[in-house]
Amino acid sequence: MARIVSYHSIVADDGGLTALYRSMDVNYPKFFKMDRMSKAGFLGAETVLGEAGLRNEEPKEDLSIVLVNSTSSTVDDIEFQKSIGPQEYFPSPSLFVYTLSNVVCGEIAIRNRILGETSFYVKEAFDAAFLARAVRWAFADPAIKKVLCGWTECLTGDRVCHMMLVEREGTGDLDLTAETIEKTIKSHTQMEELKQEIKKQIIESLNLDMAPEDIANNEPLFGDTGLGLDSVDALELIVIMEKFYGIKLTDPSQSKGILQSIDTMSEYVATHRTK
Amino acid sequence: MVTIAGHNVYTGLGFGSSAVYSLVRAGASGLTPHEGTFGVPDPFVASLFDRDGIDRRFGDRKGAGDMTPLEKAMVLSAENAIGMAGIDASSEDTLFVISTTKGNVELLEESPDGDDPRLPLWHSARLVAAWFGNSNEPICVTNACTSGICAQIVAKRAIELDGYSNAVVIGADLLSKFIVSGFQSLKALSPERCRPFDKDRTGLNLSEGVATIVLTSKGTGTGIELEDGCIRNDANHISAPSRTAAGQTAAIEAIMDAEKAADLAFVNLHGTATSYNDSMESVALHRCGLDGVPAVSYKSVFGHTLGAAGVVETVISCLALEEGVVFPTAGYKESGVPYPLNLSEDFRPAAGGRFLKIMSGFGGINAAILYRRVANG
Repeated sequence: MARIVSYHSIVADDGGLTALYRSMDVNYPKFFKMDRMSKAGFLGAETVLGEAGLRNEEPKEDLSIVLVNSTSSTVDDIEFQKSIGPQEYFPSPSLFVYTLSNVVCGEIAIRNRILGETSFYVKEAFDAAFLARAVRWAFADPAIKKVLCGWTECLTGDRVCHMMLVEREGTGDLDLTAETIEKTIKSHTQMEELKQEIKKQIIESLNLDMAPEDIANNEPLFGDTGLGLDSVDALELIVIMEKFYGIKLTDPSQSKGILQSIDTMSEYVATHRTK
Repeated sequence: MVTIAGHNVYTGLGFGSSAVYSLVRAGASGLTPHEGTFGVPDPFVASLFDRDGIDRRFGDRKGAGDMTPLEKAMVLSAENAIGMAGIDASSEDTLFVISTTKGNVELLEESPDGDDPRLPLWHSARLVAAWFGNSNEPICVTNACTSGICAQIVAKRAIELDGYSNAVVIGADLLSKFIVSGFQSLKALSPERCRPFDKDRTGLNLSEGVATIVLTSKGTGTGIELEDGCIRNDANHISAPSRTAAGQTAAIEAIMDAEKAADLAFVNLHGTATSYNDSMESVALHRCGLDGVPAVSYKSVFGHTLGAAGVVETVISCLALEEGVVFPTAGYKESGVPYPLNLSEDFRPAAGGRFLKIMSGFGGINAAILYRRVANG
């Protein structure tokens, strides 16, 4: 049996990746030296490994990394090619290092002391069936119990990173299929869309002068930190819950927990909505 | 059991495993000094294809369209190996596995924005598989310098887990201004023919090469079995090997035991002749108790053929195992690594029915494979 323990996806340009890093309570200055694909893979891995309690420097002999993309390192290749003419010839060693696409695996491995296998494949487009296959290949190694896997593509398409952690349970058949992966991605995507929707509703009803991207999912909505909403705003959120999702919040202590952050709101909405 | 059914080596030295093997057996090397080649200002030593030679060999085969020299060389190599194996390359039982680090990167010279549709590695892989009428989506492995070994490991797993009967593993890389200037910027290249493991070694030589191994689960092929393989990361540095050789040691230990070690005819090292790589490999073999086993690096003969290296060198090692010899390591005189390895300037008779091949590369990756002789038939 195989189980997808955690999943995360990233849609962001260069600036977006740096903003994401800053919002994540991660202190890893090497991040700023990385190329775009390594940054995307790094951030995806930080989130996924964090959720699984594996974001640390304990050696991990039983964890492998399997990543796939479409254009390998072409985004870096283009930059390196510029450094070697025809106008000027100053080949850049720090750029050249990233013209091997599997280096993203190395960056993630170094950060989290991942000592299993690291493999990089190239496919025309994201393909859950291929990913499932490549993960099965990684589990062919008897020492491997978990595989961090995904898609890191920075040149084509809008989704720069799909990252997930797959764990092997027992010794039987590894029943990881394309459907399992697609279902995970779908439910995650629906959750992301819901969060975006709630942010827009909050901004609109409270007349906030900000964009949905300015609100972090885990940021406290009330109090001195985060968004800094007050008790009157809380009543407005209760209206949102009823108006858009048919949820009546009557118990104040329960409401406090639910309205803590976008994460807590969306989780409650997803399971309790009546419209 | 997954065995080798056919193979081909195609380098600047010549075409065909036996032809190249005989040349190398007689002491030939394609490594020559180059100045101004590819428009690279600084001189370098490499073994290169004659590009017109690829076209001539390809001849008037129909349907090549706008195939690049790399893809033509892959077709030629695969065609030869498939013929030797006697398999049906168009069958849905056959999977193509391509190993390359940079594919057609030289096309960036003409289209610097990267919009040439032939740039993606999957495109080359698909062209080659389609050439042979194969409709399975080919697998494209790109794991830096270990790609050629990793592709063999993946092919074995695909045969064992996905039910294919055959896998055609093609390793291929050509050089360009891009690749040579990049390695020069890292100060990794030797100004002379490289000297693996020698105390006076001065870096590596890059080279061009294409090679094919056809693996099969039907019959015993040429009587050489791909017994096991392992890939490990050392999580140390993106461009330098671990000083403790942790990753390479782990990869070797995962596929070796005392009985297998006692049966080793030789260890085929990566032996790029960079200071760090060779030292790391000596530490790894020492930690695994294998530093006394006869060992060889072919880098001073072929140069480092990048994504092809794992395939080229595996074929040469298989032929050496068949003949019962251990090759010399050209250019090696006096050990310059922490734990001297059992290298030689001359050919030696080989005792044992197995060889271990190891490689490491950027991204902290290390790989090891174990081949053994089995009863033919």
